[in-house]
Amino acid sequence: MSSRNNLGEFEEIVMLTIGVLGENAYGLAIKEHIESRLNRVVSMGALHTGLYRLEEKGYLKSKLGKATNVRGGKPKRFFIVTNGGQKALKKAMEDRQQLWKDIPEGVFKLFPSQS
Amino acid sequence: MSKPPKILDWFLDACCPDSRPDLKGNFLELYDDRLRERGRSFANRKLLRDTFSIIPLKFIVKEERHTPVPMFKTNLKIARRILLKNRMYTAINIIGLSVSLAICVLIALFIQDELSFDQHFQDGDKVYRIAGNYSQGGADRVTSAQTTYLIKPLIEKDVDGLEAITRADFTADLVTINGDKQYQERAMVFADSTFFDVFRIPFLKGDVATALDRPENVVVDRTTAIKYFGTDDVLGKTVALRGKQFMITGVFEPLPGNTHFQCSIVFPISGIKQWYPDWVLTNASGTSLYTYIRTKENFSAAGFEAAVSKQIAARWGWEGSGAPKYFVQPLTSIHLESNLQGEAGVNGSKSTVYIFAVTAIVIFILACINYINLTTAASFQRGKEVGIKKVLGSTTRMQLSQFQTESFIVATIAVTIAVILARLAIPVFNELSGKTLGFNPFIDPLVGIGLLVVLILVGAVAGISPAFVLLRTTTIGMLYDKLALRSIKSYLRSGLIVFQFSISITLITCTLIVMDQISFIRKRDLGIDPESVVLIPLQTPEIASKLELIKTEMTRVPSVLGVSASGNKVTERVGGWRQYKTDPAQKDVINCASTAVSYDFFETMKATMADGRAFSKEYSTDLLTGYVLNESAVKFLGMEDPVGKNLQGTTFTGSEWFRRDGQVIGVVKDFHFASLHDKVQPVIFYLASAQTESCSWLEVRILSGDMPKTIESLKKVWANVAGSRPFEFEFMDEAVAAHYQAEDRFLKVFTTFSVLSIMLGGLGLFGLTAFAAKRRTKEIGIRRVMGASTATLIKVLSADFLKLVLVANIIGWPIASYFMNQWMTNFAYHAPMPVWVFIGTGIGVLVIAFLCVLYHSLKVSRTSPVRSLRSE
Repeated sequence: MSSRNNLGEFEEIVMLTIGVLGENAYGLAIKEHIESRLNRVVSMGALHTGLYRLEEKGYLKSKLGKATNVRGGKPKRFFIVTNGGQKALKKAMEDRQQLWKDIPEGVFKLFPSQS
Repeated sequence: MSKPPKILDWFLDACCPDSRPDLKGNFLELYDDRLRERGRSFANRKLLRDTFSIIPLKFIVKEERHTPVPMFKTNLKIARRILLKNRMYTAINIIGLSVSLAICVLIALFIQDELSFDQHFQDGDKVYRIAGNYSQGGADRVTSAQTTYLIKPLIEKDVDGLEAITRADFTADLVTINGDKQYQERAMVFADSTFFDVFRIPFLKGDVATALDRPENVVVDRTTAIKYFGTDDVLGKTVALRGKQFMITGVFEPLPGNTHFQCSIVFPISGIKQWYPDWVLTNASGTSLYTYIRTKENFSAAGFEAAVSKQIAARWGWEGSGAPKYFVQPLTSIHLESNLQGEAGVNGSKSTVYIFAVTAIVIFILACINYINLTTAASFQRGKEVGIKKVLGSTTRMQLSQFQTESFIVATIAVTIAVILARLAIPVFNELSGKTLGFNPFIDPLVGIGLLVVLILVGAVAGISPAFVLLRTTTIGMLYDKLALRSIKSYLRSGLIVFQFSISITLITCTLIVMDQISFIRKRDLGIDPESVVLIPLQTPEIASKLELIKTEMTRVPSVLGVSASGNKVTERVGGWRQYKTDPAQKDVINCASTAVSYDFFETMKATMADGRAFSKEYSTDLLTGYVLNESAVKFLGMEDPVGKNLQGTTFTGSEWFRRDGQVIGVVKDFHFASLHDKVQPVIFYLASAQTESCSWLEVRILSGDMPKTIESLKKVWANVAGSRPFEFEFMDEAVAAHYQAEDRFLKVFTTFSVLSIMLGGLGLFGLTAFAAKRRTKEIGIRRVMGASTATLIKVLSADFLKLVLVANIIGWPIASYFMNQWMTNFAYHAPMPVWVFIGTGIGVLVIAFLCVLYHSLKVSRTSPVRSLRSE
């Protein structure tokens, strides 16, 4: 339903990481970056499921690189975030900011002065 | 760059979607990193766990499915080119497949017919035949398909579970129509009025329920009605049998040929009863006709048999070992399972059906092996084709469909030819098997479907086998033609060749041994001379009573050398058992097979007396007291120096017993009454008299020249004495040969199969060498340049195959000798297992194999090395 248009938390992270990595965003690099930067474990299955799903939704685009002698002769697949993907990311961010803003004074005791 | 263990790699491949080569790359890169940092076992463990995590991807990623349809035309085009290019190999494949398929079709038809016997009767599963196990005075009990006339009244009312019971006497006799036209009717039945209640044969005219109710009724089938009167509208017309008139009250559908008895005209037993001799009507242990029952639901065979025994004890006062034991046989099992004395016709046998079925399967397997071997061999030439296609991006499926298309084309052609061959061969096969089979694959569903299945099997399965060899090789290897070098030693192919030749060798050895045994039996001295002897049955008691007259008349014919008569057909086992005492004081009697003969019997048969003399008119006492024993009987009775000794015996006329105190006047050398399947039986001979059974067979020894004229003269004598009874006769040597009919048939069938199997094997080998030679062209060229002679080259090329044939010999011999030892137990007299057969077969098959290999070896070794080395 809404997940058709809205991004999941993990998807958001993946897309952002692709943005961070720029031209070098292929499967394993994404995985390693998330693991080292955010300190969380990412399984191969979950990552690739996410990548392929996002591609299907049109948020990501991919291109096969050249096959080399390393990696068992298999090519790398480089991802970039499409315009649609960027819009979705932006929207996700804005939605959150909006919500943060709307939180009444004093409800979040830990962070009393948002905005 | 290190690779993960094979099993993990394979697992990873299985889990990665084909369209995502990058995924595997990620895995391998990760694996490599981990290996470097944390060691192999850690990397392996992690790889396994990660691989599990991508299993769901298989279902998420949508693979592009390739549809083979657009390729179909291309496939066909390539298939046509390939098949035409390798014409020889295509021809060998098609010939091998179609011949073996044709054989399979014929065998399937044969088996289908054998299994269909008696299945056509409505509710036939409730019909049983009663058969009996009788003590007829001998040491062994006799199990006969026939029963006494008295069994029906005995059980009809007092044994439960019967819906109907009928007696049936299958006989042959002369039928007269309109007082002048006579027909010898061979499928005549004397039966009770309940015959059609038991056998529900559909009626065309008349009322089934009452048709046979009156003694002067008769029922015929449509064919017979048309034969007699030219129409099937025959109700109310009359038919005469032995001077008595019968009125036709019913016409029924003719019975199909797959019935265990024949029946085209049925007379009511009530109407012909007066012609039966007394003993038929009164002898409770006699075996004169057949009894069939239709049972009610929940029939128990064991319960029925017990109830019958109880009735016999109660009504006839007969119990214990002397009493007959009756049992039932399901109607549908009679043809294949029953092989008792006095069967109504020649029955089939389950073992024949099994042997045929196994042979059909073996022959088919042989053809398939050829096919697989040749196709695989041929496919090695196609490494480049497959490699290029692969480089151009064709998938495994596309490549497979190419091979399958070719297979289907070959299989379709082969099946078509097989159908044509089978139809052409059916008349010959019918003659061989004594059947009347027809074949139409479009109407005959079973065989038609069978052929379709074969087509799919060969097309789909056999077509895949070469493809697998090719597709497993790497593309680069294929393009470099490395495949050919690697495949020289193909264990599968060697195994198949060995298997194929083992079967050929087994079959050929068996055939030769059977031949040897049969000729051994044929050549064995029977003790009497069966050449130029005519056997004439004395068909009725009236004719038998004129024996002396016939004998005198026939002796007058110039080309007749001797005439004698006997109570027993001389080519059959003696069935009459009489009781003897060698010493009047002896308490227990000895039962011995006995038969009445006329004067001159031993002379006519050319039997040799071992001691004493034969019966002679010069000794008036011979008629009532003389006994002649054969050597086996002397041993059996335990007599020493028997001539002149007293022997107390009994005789039986068919209704009355007599005591016969006599002397042994001579001992005749053992001769064979029956076939050499059995040992010579102890037999006691006495002269036929008023106190013995009468003679029922004439033996006439004639001059071997101008037989037809002699037979014509004998026929005239017969006509004078026997009146309208047709003259029947057979030649004794043919009657003897008839004992070996089963073996003859076996031999014919096996000769055909072994020739075929060696032909298939040879064809296959011929094709294989062709490819081997082609593949090794360069090697041969180099060898020639280095100075190898043609002989050496032939050796090089043929050694591989000949070695396999040698191994096949070693496997085939013991199998053959095992089966033949089993088969030999059928005979009392065996030829020694001939060693030459084994060695001969071995050498023969080797020579055939060598000849098949020779052609291509010679061809290749004669090619100029310049030509073979020039390319590339």
